[in-house]
Amino acid sequence: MTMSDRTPNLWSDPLTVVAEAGVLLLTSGAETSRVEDTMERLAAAFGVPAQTMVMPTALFLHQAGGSTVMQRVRRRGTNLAVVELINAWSRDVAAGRLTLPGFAERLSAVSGYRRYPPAVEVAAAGVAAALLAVLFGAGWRNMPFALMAGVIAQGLRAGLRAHAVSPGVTDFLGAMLAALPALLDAGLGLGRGGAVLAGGLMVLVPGVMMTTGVRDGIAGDLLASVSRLLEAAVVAAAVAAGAALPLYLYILGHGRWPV
Amino acid sequence: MTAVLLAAVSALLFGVVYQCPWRAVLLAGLLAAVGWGVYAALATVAHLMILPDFAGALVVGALAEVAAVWRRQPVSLFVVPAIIPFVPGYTAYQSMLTLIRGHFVSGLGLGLSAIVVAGSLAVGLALATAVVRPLVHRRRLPVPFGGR
Repeated sequence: MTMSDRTPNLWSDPLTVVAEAGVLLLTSGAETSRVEDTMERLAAAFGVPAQTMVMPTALFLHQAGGSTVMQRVRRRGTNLAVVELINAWSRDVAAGRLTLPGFAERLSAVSGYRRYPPAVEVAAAGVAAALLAVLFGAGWRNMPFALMAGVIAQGLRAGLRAHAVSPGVTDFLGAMLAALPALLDAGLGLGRGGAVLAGGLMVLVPGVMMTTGVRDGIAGDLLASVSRLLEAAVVAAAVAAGAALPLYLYILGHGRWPV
Repeated sequence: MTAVLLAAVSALLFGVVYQCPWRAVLLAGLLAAVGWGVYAALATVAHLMILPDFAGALVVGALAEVAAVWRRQPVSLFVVPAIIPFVPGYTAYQSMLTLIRGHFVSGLGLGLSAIVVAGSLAVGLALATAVVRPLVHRRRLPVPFGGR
């Protein structure tokens, strides 16, 4: 899927390059219609008008009367920097400002590109979790616990991203550990443990996935829609189950839980 | 007012988590603030149920389309961070808590209401796209061949 396992001369084949752009868009969280649209425009600009079929788990690219390229997609995340860059470059390609070799070279550099370092990402998730907890009704004194929960959730997700751990397992573990600061908050008698827990879990909740699923469905990309909604349901179930386990044990032990 | 600020800043921070360029992050925060203002204003009216969520998402979606054309950037850059504060995470948590306490019927009810709110957000965003996109994009590039 990445550059290393390909011979360089494949990068002169327009269909392969276009498919790679599609894979990068798809794994970075672009919606189905954008992936298809961008791939079709790129293919047309490179002189190989093609039809596309994009699903969250695979994409196909067929050149009229020519060959077909298929790419399997196994993991997806949200990296809007990559979506933005490929969008800008495909605009340059369409306007004739960027040629196939130049575009291919930029693509091979963009995989894994991050605009902000992991530490900034984790800190942002922590503060966001604390603010959302306050929005859910937590007090200012509960904020450090929600911050801890957000940091744990995002830190674990970022840490496991590189390893071949299945996404459901990551979310289950993340939710389980992110629930612990809320239990600490409740155990210390500070109250509003629920808002702390919910704020921390917001980092893991598949809101974007579900929204994209419905948008895909309304746009007519039915196959993409059902698979995204199923993915969202699986992740939501994993998060709920992961958070429920420590919460259940806490309630069993203490009997009281500050809503 | 505090809530508007909280929603805006948390949207902004989620923009950083999702690796948005910082200009887009600032715009997304602004969209979340406006959307949350609409949501909060409608939420004070009784018996509207999911209408505030729907209206908030509609506003976020419509402004995001405008921002996308203005900045010549994908609409996801603005929509994805700005919609996060609207995600019914607290209701989902309440559903989970109620279920593990053994109150299955009310737990399922809460879970269903979280799903309905999430659905209304998605429909609001999709409707905004469907209405605003044709207005702001005058010229469409031709589709390569046949197909659609």
